[in-house]
Amino acid sequence: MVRSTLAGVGLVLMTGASAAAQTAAAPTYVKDVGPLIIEKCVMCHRDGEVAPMSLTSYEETRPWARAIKNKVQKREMPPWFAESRSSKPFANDLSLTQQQIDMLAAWVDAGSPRGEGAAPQPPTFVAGWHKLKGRAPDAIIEMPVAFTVPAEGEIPNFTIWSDNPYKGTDKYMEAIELRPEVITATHHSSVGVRKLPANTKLGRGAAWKGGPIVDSMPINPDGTVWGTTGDVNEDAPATAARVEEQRNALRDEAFATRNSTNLLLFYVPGGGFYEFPAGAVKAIHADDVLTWGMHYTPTGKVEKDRHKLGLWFSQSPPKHEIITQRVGETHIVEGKEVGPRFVPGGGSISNIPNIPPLAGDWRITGITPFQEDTTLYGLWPHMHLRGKDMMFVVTFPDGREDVVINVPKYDFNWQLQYQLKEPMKLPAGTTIKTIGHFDNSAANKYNPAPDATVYWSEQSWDEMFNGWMELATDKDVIKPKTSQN
Amino acid sequence: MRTIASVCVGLALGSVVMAQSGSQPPVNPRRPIVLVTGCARATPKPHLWQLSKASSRTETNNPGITNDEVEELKKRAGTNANYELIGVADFVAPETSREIGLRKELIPPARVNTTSTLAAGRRVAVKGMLLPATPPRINLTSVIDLGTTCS
Repeated sequence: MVRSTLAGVGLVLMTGASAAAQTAAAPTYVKDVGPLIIEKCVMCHRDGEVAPMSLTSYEETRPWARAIKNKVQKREMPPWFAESRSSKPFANDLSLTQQQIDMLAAWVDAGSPRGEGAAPQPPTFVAGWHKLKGRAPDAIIEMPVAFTVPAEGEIPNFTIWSDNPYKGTDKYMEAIELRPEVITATHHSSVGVRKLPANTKLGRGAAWKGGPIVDSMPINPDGTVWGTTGDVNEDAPATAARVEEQRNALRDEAFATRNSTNLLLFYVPGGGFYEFPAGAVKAIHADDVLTWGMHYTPTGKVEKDRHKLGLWFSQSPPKHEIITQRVGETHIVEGKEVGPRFVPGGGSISNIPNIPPLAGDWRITGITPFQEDTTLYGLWPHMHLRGKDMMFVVTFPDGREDVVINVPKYDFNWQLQYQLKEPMKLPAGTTIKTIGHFDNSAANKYNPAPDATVYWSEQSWDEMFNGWMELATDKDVIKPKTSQN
Repeated sequence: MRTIASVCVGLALGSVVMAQSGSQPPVNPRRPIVLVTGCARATPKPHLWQLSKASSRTETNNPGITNDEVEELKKRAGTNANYELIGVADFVAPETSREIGLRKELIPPARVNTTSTLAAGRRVAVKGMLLPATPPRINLTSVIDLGTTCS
C-alpha cells in the first residue's frame, strides 16, 4: 500500500515534469508556425487571392489550426506534387518536410499557442499581383476586351489577339505574371506571342465559330476570321470523315512540339507567375502580336473578365531567350513505337492513338533529342482529367540517365509549373523523355466518361500529354544591339 | 628565390583568373541525327548496348523511323563498323529497362512502357544522335526490328 502510494506520487511527479517539458518545447506561432505559413501559404491565403481564407496573422490562422493540421498531414496543402527524393530541387517548392508537418501538428496539439513577442509580418505584396518580385510590374498589358462570361453553359477554349504595344522594339522580361480579373471564372488561360498570319490584320470577328464578336481577331482579306476551325463537339460535322479530319487537326495541335505561337505564360489558379535567373528572359519581339488563350468556367452569375499581363523588364543584360517547348518528337504508346508523320510547313508529329474506353493504366512516353547545347529552366507536366502521373528523365551523352522531375500523383486541379532551382545544362546529344500514364477507368473519380474513347485536344473532356519545358539553346545569344528594355 | 616564387604564384594566379573570367562552358557542335542498321548486342551494363556489323549511316532531319524508310533499311548491307548505343531504356525488355537509372524504384514492372525491339541477336535499325566516342555512340530516339536474326 505504502509502496503503491509512493509509486503513485512518483508517477504524478514524473507526468507533471514531462508535461512541463512538453509545454516548454511546444512550437509557437511567433517563433515557429508564423514564419512557415508566411513562407509557404500567404501567397495564396490572403485577401483577393484564390484561397478561401486569409492566413496572414495569428488571429486569422488560429481558427483554422485543426484544418491546417489535417491538410498538411494528408499532404493536400501546400499543393506540391513533385516527389522530392528523385526530383531536382525547385525554386518554387512549396512542400513541407516531415519535420515541418510534425511541428505544425505539435503546435495544434498544444492548443495553438501564440508565443511571446512580435508576430512575424507577411511581406508587402504589390496590390493586384500574386507573386513577389519586390517591385510593381514595369508595364501592364491588358486583354483587348472585357469578356462577358455567361452565368451558365459551356464556353469553348478560344483565342483573342492584341496588338503589340511595343511594336518596333524587342522587349525582354525577367519575370511575368498573368492575372485574371475574375479568378473564379477562369479555368485556365495563357498568353503567347507570334507573328500576325500573312495577309491578315486585326479587326472585328467571332471569338470562335458562333461565338461573340470581339474587336481583336486576325481577319483574312475576304473578311473571315483566320484559323477558326470550330470545335469538334460544338460544330457537329456532317460526316465521319469530317469528324476524323477535325480530330486529327486537334491532335496535331495538342502534340506539336513547337508551333507558331511562343507561349509566354500559362495561368491556373494559384499560378501564373514565372521568374527567371539573371540574363534569361522571355521576349516580345518587335514584330510580334499577343495571343490570349482563354478557358472560362461560368460561376452561376454573369461575370466580366479582363486579364492583365504584368511585365518585369530584365534589369540584367538579356542573354538567352527562353522558349516554351513540348517533349515528344517521337512516342512510344503501350509498348509500340508510334511512327511520325510529316506535317505541312515542316516538322513532324506522331500519330498518337486515342485512349481506349476503360483503360486503367494507359502508357505513353515522349522523346525529344537536343542536338545543341541547351539549358533547361523549368517544367510543366500537363494532362487532363485522366492524367495519372508524369516523369521527365534525361539521358546524357555519357549514357547516364537522370530524373529531372517525378510527379507520381498528377492532379488536374493543381497544374503546377516547376522552376528548377539551378538551371540544368543539357549538352548537345542529350535526350529528354516524358513517361506518363492515363486512367480512363471508372476507378478514376475525375473521369467523366469511362466508357468513351478519349481523343486529343485542348478541351478538358479530351486529353493532352504535354511535358512542357522552359529552355534556351545556348548558342542563341541575344545581340546587345537589339537589347532594349 | 622568393621573387621567382612570387612570379610563379603570380603567373599561376593569373592563369586561374583568366580561366575564370573566360570560363564559358565548352560549346559542343550540333549532334546530327543518324540512321543505321546492325546487330543488337547487350553488354554487362544494362544502359549500354552495342550495334555490330553496322551498315553505312545516313543523316536525317527527324528522330523517328518512318514506314517509308523501312524497306530501304532492310536492304542495307552490314560492314565491320560498330556503335555504342545509349538511351536504350525505352527500347529494351522491361526487366532490363528497370535496371537503368532509378526506374526500378519508380516504375513497377506492369507499368513499364518499352518496345523490346532492342533485343540481343536481332537485326535492327536505329535512329539517334551521333556522339564522338570510340566506337561512335548513338543516343537513341527510335528503334525498329528488321525481322531477322543476326548470323
